[in-house]
Amino acid sequence: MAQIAESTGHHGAEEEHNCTGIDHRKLLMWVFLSTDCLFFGALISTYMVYRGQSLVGPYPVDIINIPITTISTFVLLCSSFAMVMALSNTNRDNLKGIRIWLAGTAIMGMIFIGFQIVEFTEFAMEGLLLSTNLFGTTFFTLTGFHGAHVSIGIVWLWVMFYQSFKGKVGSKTALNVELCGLYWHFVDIVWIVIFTLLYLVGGFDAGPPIVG
Amino acid sequence: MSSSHEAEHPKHPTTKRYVIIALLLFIITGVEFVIILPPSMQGTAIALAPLIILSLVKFYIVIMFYMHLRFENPLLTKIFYSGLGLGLLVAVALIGLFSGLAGTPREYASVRAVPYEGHGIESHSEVVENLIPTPVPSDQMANSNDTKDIIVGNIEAGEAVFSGSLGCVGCHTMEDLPGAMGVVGPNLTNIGTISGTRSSLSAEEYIKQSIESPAAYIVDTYAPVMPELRNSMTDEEFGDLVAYLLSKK
Repeated sequence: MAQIAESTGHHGAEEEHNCTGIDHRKLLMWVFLSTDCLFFGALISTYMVYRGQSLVGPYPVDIINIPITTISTFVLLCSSFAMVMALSNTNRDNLKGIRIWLAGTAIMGMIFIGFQIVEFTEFAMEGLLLSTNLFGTTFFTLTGFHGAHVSIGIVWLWVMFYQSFKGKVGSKTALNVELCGLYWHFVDIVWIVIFTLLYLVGGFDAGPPIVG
Repeated sequence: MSSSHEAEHPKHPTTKRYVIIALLLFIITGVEFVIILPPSMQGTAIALAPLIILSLVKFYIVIMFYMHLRFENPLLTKIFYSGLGLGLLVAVALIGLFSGLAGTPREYASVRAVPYEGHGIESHSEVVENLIPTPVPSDQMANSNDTKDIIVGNIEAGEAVFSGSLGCVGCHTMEDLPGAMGVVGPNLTNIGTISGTRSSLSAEEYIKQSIESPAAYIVDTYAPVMPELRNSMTDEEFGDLVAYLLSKK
């Protein structure tokens, strides 16, 4: 405890003095991401446990659109690349590069959310709502929470973009961009799992056949 | 902070390396898509293993290079892996207990699940056309009240209704009707005879009741899951259907 108190006393200093040698904010971010693994782990498990247990349609095979979602997955992967480029430019104090890549990341995130909005709307028109069946409940809860994570990331990115005009983004405060990047990449890896399990593996789950 | 930050990570990936990693991630995603492209691979156990392995590879690459966990203090790795490991453990336990990877319906669902009528409408109507020379258009949903109590119906047209978009054949077996092999509801092969013995009602009244209010009489060992479909057909279709079922002696 004494060490913690001492380290907080040095807040704002160039070097972090604490027992871990890790910046507090970075440590906090990794602890948060660690717990977020549990959050998404629970939601993904729930989806997998209830796979094939829906009593009424639409069933996944009736509405899941794998080609479209593959495109949105590509977009999200691209945005992760843009994010590392934003951090790389931050470390080099290239302000123009920072703005381009931050905005690029945010825009690709918005495109991803756009795909999700279209997907959710199509599902709703096909008759799949949160309350329709177990598929709808578990699918919308999981992908909805993921979409919420992406949306928070988008807001965060635009805030950083705005701050770059106030002279607050640069190599001296590179950790700000780095933390945002950690969060953004985490959201990306969660999608990697969701895309594989809900679309590539679970997307062909069908209900009982109509004829024979 | 930043000067020491640079010094701490001498092996920090270069831009060129980031591009290579990005391309690698794209290629893996492309391969995943190609794996499930042939219908013979879709939803199979053969596709499962490579898909999971490839996504784990992507997962690892992003964490190690994009999130540069490789170049960080080992404590961060321990913290992240403990959460990730705990989450994985819960997932593996749950998915293992409920065989979630197979995705097959458990008993509750396999007995009660009903087909989705919006699926494969095209191929479905083809089947109907092959069975019946003159199929009844399914868009005759109008229902007028002044022509109730139709007794006489067209048996052939009734067969079309039975195998049509209402989905009767999804749940009921009719042995002389190809494709009618459902087991959710009772076998209707001899319903024209059986219907007179089920309750105090006459055969015709019993069949009508079973369609109008299915919950009124539930055959032993079956679940009360039949939907009320009377309003999904016209009076004429209803009469034809009753006539058809009655003819199944």
